[in-house]
Amino acid sequence: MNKDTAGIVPATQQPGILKTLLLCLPMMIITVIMLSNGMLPTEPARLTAFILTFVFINVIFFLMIRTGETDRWRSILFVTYAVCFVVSFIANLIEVRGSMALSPADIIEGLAPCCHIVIPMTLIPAALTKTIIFPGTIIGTKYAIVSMFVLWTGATIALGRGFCSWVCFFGGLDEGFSRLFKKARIKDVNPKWNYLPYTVLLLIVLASAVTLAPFYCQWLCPFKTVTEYPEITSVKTVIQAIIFISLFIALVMVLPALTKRRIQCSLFCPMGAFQSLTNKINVFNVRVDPEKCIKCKKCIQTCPTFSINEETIAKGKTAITCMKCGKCIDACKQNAIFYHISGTPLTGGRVEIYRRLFIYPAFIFLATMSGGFVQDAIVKTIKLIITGSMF
Amino acid sequence: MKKLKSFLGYIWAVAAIIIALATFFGQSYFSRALVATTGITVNPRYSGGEIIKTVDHGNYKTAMHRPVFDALIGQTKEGFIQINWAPAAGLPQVISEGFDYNSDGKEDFIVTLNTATGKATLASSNPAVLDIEKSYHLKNGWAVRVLLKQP
Amino acid sequence: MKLDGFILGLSNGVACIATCAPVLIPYLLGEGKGIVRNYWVIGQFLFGRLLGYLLFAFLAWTVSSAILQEASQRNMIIGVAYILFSGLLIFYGFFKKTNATCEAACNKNKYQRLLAIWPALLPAAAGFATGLSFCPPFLLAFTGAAEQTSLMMSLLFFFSFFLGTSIFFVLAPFVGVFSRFSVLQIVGKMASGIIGFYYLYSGSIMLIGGLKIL
Repeated sequence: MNKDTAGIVPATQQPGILKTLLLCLPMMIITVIMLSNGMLPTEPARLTAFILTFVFINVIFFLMIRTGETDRWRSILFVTYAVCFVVSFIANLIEVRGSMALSPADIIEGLAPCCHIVIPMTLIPAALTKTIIFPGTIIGTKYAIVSMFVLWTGATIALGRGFCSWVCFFGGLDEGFSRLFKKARIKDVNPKWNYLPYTVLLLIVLASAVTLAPFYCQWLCPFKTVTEYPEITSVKTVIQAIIFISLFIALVMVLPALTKRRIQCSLFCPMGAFQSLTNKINVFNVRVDPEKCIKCKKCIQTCPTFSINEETIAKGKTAITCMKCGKCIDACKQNAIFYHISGTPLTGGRVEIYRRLFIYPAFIFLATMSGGFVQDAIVKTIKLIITGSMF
Repeated sequence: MKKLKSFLGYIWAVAAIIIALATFFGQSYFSRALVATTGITVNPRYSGGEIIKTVDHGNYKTAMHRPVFDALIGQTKEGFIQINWAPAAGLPQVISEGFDYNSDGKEDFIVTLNTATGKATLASSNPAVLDIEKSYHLKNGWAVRVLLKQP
Repeated sequence: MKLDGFILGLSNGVACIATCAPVLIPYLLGEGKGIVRNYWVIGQFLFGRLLGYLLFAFLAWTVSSAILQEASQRNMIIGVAYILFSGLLIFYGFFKKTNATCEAACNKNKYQRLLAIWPALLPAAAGFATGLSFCPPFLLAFTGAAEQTSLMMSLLFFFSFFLGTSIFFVLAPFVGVFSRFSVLQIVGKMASGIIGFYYLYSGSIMLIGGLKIL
């Protein structure tokens, strides 16, 4: 490692304004096309939302390139994305269905929007029955099952578990709450809880296959609290609602705020566990240079997902749970932690090239996914201010 | 070997940018191709299964789905059959209709549905037809699921 | 097949194999005997276990038919048993530190003595012993079997439980798979703990149902 890492250029040696703008130009073009769907909006509210979103996203990317810091700027867009997703999603549900509640009639009509967490539960039944065990549409809508599968496949090949910090529309809520306080109130978390997501994954995959129903959506999803929930019609649905709300308050709000970690994402989410397993096919990873490391443990303290510890540092790696958010890289004053591309050398001052090669695809996902929701949330807010109604 | 690995690493990294773009630009194409290749559908426990018979009553239509006993492997002992009536605007206040779900030429059950209240009742003449599971007020009509057991 | 029995078995299968396998599997299988022979031994082991389970299914039904006559009493007693045992399972799954919960894994010496007398009996006897272990998931399965309305259903419940726990043993002859027993143990025990919450829910519903009838 010592020989390999000799000559790493500190990530702080960043390009000038002109070079930064040139590096940002491709992203500007991509975001214009993605945000406008190839045609600029003419309605004033939509045009305003488009311009604001375009500027916001590209300023974030500009700062990422210019300052060499990743997580600092990513987190701003990621949290905004999650908040705007919730606003946009709930507003759309109320507009289309009149309520956040999912009625039995909605279920048999296939009106439930699908999210990526459904994917692991559907694989065994899909292989054996050629059907998807989810009450949604297969194709043709924004939240159609197969569209979500395509999105997940692309993001997994491109980013691996980076999905959780750059693509997931729920992760920003957890992250937002984890950044509420300056200091962590709870510092020690037993490492055995790192295995809980794998347990939840194992259980939901088996239970969903046996019952032919998406078990996690029915019983365990904390995000039902801020998206849609089953219509309260029985004791069972009351208990389900209590579970959803309790898990949301505990795992997404309180524990992240107290620990300054993404507790739901790292200690509960089965999709995260699934991404850790599928991450094997991805080329991007985060590496540590033990020779440069001065054992300040700053990275261990800041990692939001418990993915870096003394053992992994000694191996020069992060754990498989690493979401590639870049927080440890930003925090390391010794530049001992860096993004890396499998197979490439650790020498020759290419660290910033590796980082850029990672953040381009990662940011394309984040910008495109967040762009639609941010625009929609702005439009709804403008309408609310002007007309008193979001619709 | 090191150079080759490094070259492949860079290729893969650049390909990630192309994959990211292709995911969004080609989402619709890939989705359609995947559905066409796999023939995947929504599980009949949710969709009600394929419609096997339609009856036109003039103002409205009745659609009878196939009996659903689908399990992960094989079939379950108990299942259901779904009946749909649409459009909502053409439905009478009370619908009473008989069904021969196993195509043996004999009527197996009669469903009576009050479209104002959603109350559904069942008159069964086949021991394999058990009960009304639930009635559903759909966007443009009504549906009823009738519980069945394997004959 | 009884779905609830099967799921309970499935959820506990990982913990079951993670606690039994490190001690039993290498011991039962010996070294370098080949996959076919290994499957034969595992088959005997599972047969012994099934016998143990079916014996308990019979006992569960006997207890149930002798004591639990009225519907309200039945619901309340089984509901309370579910709540107690699920509490135990949650504790076992998330908080208990020791791993030796499997009877068979703790009684290796007994098997060695047995082996000296009748070597061919060993795998089935070891299986029978695991079938009689009083671990929390087993106690829940016992309650589940007692809840059934006939002897046949009780037997079917335990048979489904057996199938669920046995799926993971299919991999056992490939001993190399179990290189990370400690991780399997943690994941398996946590899975049991989560299923404990399901039984806590079921027990509460039954208890409420029993109280309503009263």
